[in-house]
Amino acid sequence: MEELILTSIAIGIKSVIFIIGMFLLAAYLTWIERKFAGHVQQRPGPLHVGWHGLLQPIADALKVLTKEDIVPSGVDKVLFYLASLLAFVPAIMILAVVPFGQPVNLFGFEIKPYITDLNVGLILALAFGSISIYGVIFAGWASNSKYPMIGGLRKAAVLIGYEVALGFAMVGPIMQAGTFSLKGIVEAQQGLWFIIPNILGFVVILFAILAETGRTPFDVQEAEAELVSGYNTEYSAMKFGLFPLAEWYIATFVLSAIAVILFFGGWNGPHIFGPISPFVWFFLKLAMMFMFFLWVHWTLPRYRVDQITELAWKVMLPLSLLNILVVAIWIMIFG
Amino acid sequence: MDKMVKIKYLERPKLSNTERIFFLDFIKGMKVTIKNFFRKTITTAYPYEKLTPPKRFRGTHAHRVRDGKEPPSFNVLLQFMEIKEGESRCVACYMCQQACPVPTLFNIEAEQLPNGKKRVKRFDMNLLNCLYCGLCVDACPVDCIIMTDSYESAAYTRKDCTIHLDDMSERGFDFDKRRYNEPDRIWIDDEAREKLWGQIKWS
Amino acid sequence: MELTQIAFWTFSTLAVLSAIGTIFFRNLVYTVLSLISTLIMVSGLFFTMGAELVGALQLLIYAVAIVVFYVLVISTVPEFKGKAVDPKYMLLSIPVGFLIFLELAYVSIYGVWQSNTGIFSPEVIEKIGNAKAVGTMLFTKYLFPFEVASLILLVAMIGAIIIGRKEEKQEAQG
Repeated sequence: MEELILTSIAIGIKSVIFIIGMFLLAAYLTWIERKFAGHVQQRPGPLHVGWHGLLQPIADALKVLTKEDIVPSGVDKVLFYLASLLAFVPAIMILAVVPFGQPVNLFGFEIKPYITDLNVGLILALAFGSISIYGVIFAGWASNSKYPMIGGLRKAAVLIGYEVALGFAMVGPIMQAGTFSLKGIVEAQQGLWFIIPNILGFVVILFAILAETGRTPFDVQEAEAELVSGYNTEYSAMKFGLFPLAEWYIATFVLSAIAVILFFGGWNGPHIFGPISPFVWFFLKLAMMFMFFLWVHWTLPRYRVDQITELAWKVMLPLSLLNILVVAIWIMIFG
Repeated sequence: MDKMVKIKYLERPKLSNTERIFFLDFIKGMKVTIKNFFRKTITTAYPYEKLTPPKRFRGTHAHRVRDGKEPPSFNVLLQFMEIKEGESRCVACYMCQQACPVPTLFNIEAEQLPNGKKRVKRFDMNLLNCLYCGLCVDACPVDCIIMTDSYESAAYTRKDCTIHLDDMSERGFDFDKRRYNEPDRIWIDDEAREKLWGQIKWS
Repeated sequence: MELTQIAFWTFSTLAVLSAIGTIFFRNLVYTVLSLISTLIMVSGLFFTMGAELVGALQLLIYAVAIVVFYVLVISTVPEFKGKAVDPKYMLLSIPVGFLIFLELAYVSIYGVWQSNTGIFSPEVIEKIGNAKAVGTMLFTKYLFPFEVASLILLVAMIGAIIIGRKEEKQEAQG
């Protein structure tokens, strides 16, 4: 009994640290995104709250939290509240299986920078990532309004296509590592990174992450030119804030982490920063990946829905299957 | 029913196979954005830095004052008018109101003095209705009403958006003092324009 | 009480409650929502029993991939259609439901009795991992049923494509 309480408290503290860290990180990811978007359009982005707008995320958070929370009279109240959480919680639950580095010995304690190291971590990450679409669909339905409804259905149509391609594209690294555990996959990449035979799978995963997080070439679910604001049209205040926070920041960040783990060797790298070099390498790669998604987001216009699903089924799915073939041949030749 | 307007159908430019396979158009676009990312920003930090618009900018209206630079038509009218040096040149001819697309935004009134001369008593403009087209400026026979480079016309109450005879002539005096001698062109320097859009080539 | 036991009772209670909700909710979207809840809770049960692969696949395939289609269809159904009740079907469903219950009970009792007899004892699974155990069984002993199942799926897929095609043609003619 005592052990049970101790383990629960330890896991609880760790999870709280992860969640608070993710919240702060997500807040500053908004700052990074706004700065990036600004400079791409030759404007400076947030500038006046703090040095170069560094306190802007905090000001924004206060604004969103203290705003009036409007619930339209025609909505289904239970689902309306539930949907914003349903989009947010699974996105943050992916953190439970994503490792951010190897166990480190600090001050005599062994600190593990991950919550669990499940043998099926990758499948769970995939599952949590896709459960969050229920938030989008139910937000659309509960709003009792046509634009959110269309937005939610579009998201579902996009996600069904890319979930399949994403799953198949992840098979390549799994085959090479021989395990579903994300930690195990990183440890299998001590030598060559998995990007080398898996280049096709990487391309598929790039597109799938863009689609899954609703970033620009695939942001049909909120297509502001057609659907006002898509599935979150009727939302306000923090309930509204949770959607972009979950989709654009937390999900993008965590899925970039998974892409880095699968293809770029995770925290592997030369030990040139002393004991913290695994973290440095991991977050460096992660930042590059995230910035790449921002770069794509602020460059490309939106695809049409039929083009997106066509791309998913006719291009991305065959590509990911081809990737499995290539990797199988690679494994047969090089062992 | 046959259509009045004929539609010409154009085909979209087709992508070649290499373009389609390697997403070359994506890469082209990404090259443009990353180039812009490392450029200097071109914005002005507005409340701290203020741009001076070109002289022909159509900002808040003003009245030129009687200062000896009037066109000949004014000198003809002057014998019927009671206008001292440094006062607004307005002769209350209502030409600006006639030219205006929203004539009700003017409220002009003149009175006859005991010595038989005419004096402008009131010249109000409700800028809330103004669309800043500049037709009143073209219509003025004595080169009185002008538009200045002042663009900060926001106010807290509706009554602050109306401009009157005295503050208009003050603004006009100030504007002429600053910018009367400037050449009447939108782009002062050709260099910046040529850098942006190249040179014009006459045949 | 151990952690696994607490988890088991929590998950199973919630699973039963949401299953009851699936049956008795009048609003179709709520029904689907409690169906999702049931499936997630069942996957939690798998986790507590140490069948991680099955739990994760349950979450990925049932709770997401399949139910998304249900949601996609049901969320477009007008609300009043969900409220229509036909007592005729309710009467019919009782014996059929009882038969299905009997079959499921037989399968699960047989499975519990059989599960201790194979080569994969809990110690072996602990050592080699879930995925390897499932893969080994699937590609040796149950290879034939596995292939037959994939053939059935292929047939279903081709059938679906053909049905979809036909409608398209009729539309073009009409």
